[in-house]
Amino acid sequence: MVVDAMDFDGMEEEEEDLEEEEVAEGDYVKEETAEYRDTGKEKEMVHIMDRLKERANKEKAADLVSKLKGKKKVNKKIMPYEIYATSGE
Amino acid sequence: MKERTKGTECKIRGIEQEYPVSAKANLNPAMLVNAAIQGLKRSALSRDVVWDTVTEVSQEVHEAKITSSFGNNGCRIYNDMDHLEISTPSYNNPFDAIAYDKASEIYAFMATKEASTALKKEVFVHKNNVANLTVTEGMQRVKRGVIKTNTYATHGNILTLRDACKDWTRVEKSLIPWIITRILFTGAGDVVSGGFVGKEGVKFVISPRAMFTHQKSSFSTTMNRGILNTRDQPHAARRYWRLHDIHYEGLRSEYAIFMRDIAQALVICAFETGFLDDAPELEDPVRAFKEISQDTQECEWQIKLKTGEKTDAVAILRYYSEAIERMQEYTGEESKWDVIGLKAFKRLIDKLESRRIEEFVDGIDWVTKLALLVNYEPKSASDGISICNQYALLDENVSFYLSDSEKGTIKSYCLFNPKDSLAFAERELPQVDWASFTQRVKYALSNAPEQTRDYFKVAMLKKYGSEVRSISWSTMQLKAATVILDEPFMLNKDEMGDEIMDGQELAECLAVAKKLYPTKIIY
Repeated sequence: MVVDAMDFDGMEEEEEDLEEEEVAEGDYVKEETAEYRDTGKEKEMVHIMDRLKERANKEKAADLVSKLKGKKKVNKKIMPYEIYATSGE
Repeated sequence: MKERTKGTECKIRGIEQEYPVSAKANLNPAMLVNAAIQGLKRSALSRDVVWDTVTEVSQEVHEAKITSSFGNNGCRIYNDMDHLEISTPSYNNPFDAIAYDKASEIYAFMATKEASTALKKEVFVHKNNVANLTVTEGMQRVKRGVIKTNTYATHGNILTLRDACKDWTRVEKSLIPWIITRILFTGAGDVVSGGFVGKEGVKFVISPRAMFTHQKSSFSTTMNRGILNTRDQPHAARRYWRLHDIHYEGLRSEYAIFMRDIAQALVICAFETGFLDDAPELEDPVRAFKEISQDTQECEWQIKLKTGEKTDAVAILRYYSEAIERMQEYTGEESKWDVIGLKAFKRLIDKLESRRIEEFVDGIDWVTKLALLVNYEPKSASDGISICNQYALLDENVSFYLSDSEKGTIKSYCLFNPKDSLAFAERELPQVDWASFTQRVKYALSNAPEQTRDYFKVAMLKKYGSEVRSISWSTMQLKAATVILDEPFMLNKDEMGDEIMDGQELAECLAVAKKLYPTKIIY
């Protein structure tokens, strides 16, 4: 199986603008102490811009294979072991 | 009784994972699985139990004959058609969904490590759903030939209401589009025989299980599989229906396990309350399932609706997220997990919509496996098979979840990187207290979740094991009494307090339970 190898055009990860959070004991959920900063018109604009950005990204979304190039290290030897299993469930 | 939990915390769920056990020496799979099960007992992680097949009526003949072990955490362990099957105890939140799934991985690894010692052969275990074998027409293994794909299962279970499932066409209408489109984040990814798409060699697909689907619904889990399974076996009171979902897949990534669990629970809540009755109907669900699964390059994920219109799978996922929002507005009931889950689900949909798929490396299993294939550049079908198998391999890397010290020095051949996966989950789900994850997995190895009925079963078995005659998901037969555990949260830690653990005699424990549930403790 040969997978096409095209240049990867990476995209920066989007980060949310959150204030500090505290850990609530016992329930494995951190208590959220902050709201998103953007509100009202500002929030609406951000939302619209996000949509536009998404649309722009969508146009160049094709070919996932090329985008994954360089995304994982190839530092382990591949072991040619088969799984000897019957169908089940 | 204390106040019940809210939102999806009211839903108990669990995973059945069939693990293929293999040896390079090509030993009989049944012998390998039995050696693994014996190994778990030797390492004191499980014990023999008589599974109560009298009150738990099985709908499949072979299942009634299965010998079971009971894991220290309440999991059921057995040999199902020559696979090591481990069914987790029931839990009610996505953090435990991961913890008990990881505990199951550790059980499977420990089992095969013991089997290796006993058989003096290297024994392997994988967490996946397909075995690709090179065969000739006579089924004899040769170096060159046709690739045949066998499949085995990961079943997801969630307890829903029987009333909601009485009209099965409603179940199909509401849930089939969900099961098909959720594979964009729940697909394990793997290579299957090229024969599925009329080609030679192998083909990488998002959801290998999708390729084995033949119809909308089926009773059988092995023949002509349906997208939905109609098995009526609630393992609880008759008013419940256990949705036995045969299209879960063997996942390794914490993020994907978390999202699958919480999104599924939210969708089932929306289904019960009627918020999915207007779900979009697909023209040909089986075909759509397979086509989306195969679309790993262009990621168009096109779907034709019954109305003739075309849409894509992400738009359908958005329908579900909006239905969940409407439900939450209506019921006003949501747990903290629901808030985290819905927010993360919407963020996931936004990224999928803009096809930023490459951002899910280390978070969504099929994306990570595809990234490995792309970067290893396999030159043959067997190379591609090996890469996927090596990702699914359970080896020393499962000890990552038990170590509080520096997590990066474990010698492992596995291509799944638990450190990267956990880092992804921490980044994408920042409201979850990941610092307590190791502690929770350790707890999950030898204790049942505190919130469900499994807490009582495990505590009783640990303390009064010799008094237990038989057990099932919803019953416990003691020499002194029969305990009917047909309500999912009954006799949990909140209800029993520390009565069981703090040195009470059996009679006193039963008296506490009898006081809470007079008709369910039968002397």
